[in-house]
Amino acid sequence: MTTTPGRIAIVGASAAGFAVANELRDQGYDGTISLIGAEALPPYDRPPLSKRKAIDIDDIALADLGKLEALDLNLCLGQRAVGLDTIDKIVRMADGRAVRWDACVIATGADPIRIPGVDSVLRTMADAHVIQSRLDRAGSVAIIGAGVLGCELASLTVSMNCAVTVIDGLPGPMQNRLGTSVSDRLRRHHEEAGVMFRLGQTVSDVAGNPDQGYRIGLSDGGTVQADAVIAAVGCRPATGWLKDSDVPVNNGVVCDENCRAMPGVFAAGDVANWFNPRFGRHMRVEHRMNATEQGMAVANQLLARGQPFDPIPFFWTDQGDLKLQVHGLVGPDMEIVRLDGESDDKRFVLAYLREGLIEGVLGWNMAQMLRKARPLIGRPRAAIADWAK
Amino acid sequence: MGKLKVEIIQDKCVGAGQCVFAAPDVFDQREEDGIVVLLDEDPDISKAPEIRKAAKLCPAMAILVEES
Ligand SMILES: Cc1cc2nc3c(=O)[nH]c(=O)nc-3n(C[C@H](O)[C@H](O)[C@H](O)COP(=O)(O)OP(=O)(O)OC[C@H]3O[C@@H](n4cnc5c(N)ncnc54)[C@H](O)[C@@H]3O)c2cc1C
Ligand code: SF4
Repeated sequence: MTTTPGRIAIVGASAAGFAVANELRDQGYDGTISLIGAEALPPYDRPPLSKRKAIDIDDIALADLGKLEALDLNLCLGQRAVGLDTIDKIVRMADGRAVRWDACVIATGADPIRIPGVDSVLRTMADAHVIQSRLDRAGSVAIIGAGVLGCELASLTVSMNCAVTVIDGLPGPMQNRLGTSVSDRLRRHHEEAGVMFRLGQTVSDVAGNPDQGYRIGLSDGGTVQADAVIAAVGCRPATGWLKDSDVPVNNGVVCDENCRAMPGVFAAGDVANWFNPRFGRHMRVEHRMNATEQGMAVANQLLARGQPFDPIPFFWTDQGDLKLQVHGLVGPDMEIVRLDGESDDKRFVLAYLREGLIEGVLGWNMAQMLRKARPLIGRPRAAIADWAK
Repeated sequence: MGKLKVEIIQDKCVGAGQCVFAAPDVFDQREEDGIVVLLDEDPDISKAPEIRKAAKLCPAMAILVEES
């Protein structure tokens, strides 16, 4: 018989960390749960931050105060962990305190990559407030990065009547994820809404400030002028605080298929680089759905009733009136087969194949049909003909 | 014997469809935009586990479940 740990410390109080705590209580765990988070706000949901303006914390809280209280947590908000000692089993806090644990979950997520001269990024509610206050006075905005976040911000800011320029080193928006043909379609979607692109351009320098505006130098010698500038060039797993610990870190916390980094130490969410047995490789998934699912999986591991974590990753992105959703894995080097859709390309479902095997399906304004295509994942190309019937 | 009350918030729903995977008898998605529809407002208590799972998994917190 394995016994369940008496004290569980969860570092990171967002989607993944909250899911661990919630699932532990749901499964009847009655030990001590410390939920430690650097942000002062109670756990909240990030995806709305780039999709809506003027967001109220109550609308995006992961649990209302009553529910949070009912979970009976040792809630340490506005407190940063600065070290993890796996021998004495303590989380060291910035204020010098130590939180003792019998099992620890690392759920510190990811930090946005910054660009010199650009002080706006979007990861937290506090970031969203800064951006909102700047956009209220801005007629034009430059967004550096045409990934998911940059594209969502383009749609949001264009809907606020800003002149929007999106800059990226790649030849098309989300090109490194979706491949050229879908990226071209996405570019058209944004251009029709009024977004301007400067593609295949890297940023050489940024000068300016929020009061006087910005001048962004590009690699081809051109410039972009804008009242506001936001960097949306991706994230790095938030593992800096682990640098003196013996937790294995390599593009996130390296875990086995049970999301375990070492005895008694687990990771979940954006920070976890775990072995997904379904795809036979390590992966780190920066998506909202994964944070919940992996958090729940880790909770069950802690209660010694866990199973290998082998999800089909899922993400969605809303960009204006476009709802783009992906189950499984897609990539620019994969073969694409059209499964369904309308002739004018307003809606379609695609399969992405690697070496003849379907690894992912993508829906463009076609959520319901996409759901029906998900079972194709893991099947060979021949399965498509049967599915279409 | 308890009763289950399920409520959906369509404004929050992002059309992820996770609820339909978890509880296909209770939830569906609109064909045109994938937004959740409730097939059964007071489902049988035996469905509680799968409905609670759907609510937990929903990435938009668009499903509320009350057991009375
Ligand atoms: C603007 C935005 C829009 C998004 N939209 C989508 C979308 O449409 N679809 C989608 O699938 N995904 C989306 N995502 C991604 C999704 O929000 C993330 O995958 C999810 O938040 C990951 O949850 P997490 O708990 O692993 O990490 P995080 O949400 O990053 O939370 C980690 C928490 O840990 C805290 N922390 C970090 N270091 C420490 C420390 N040393 N001590 C204490 N606390 C610490 C942080 O302050 C943070 O609160 C979006 C993300 C953003 C930012
Ligand atoms: S799981 Fe949530 S977001 Fe997804 S379709 Fe159901 S209600 Fe909507």
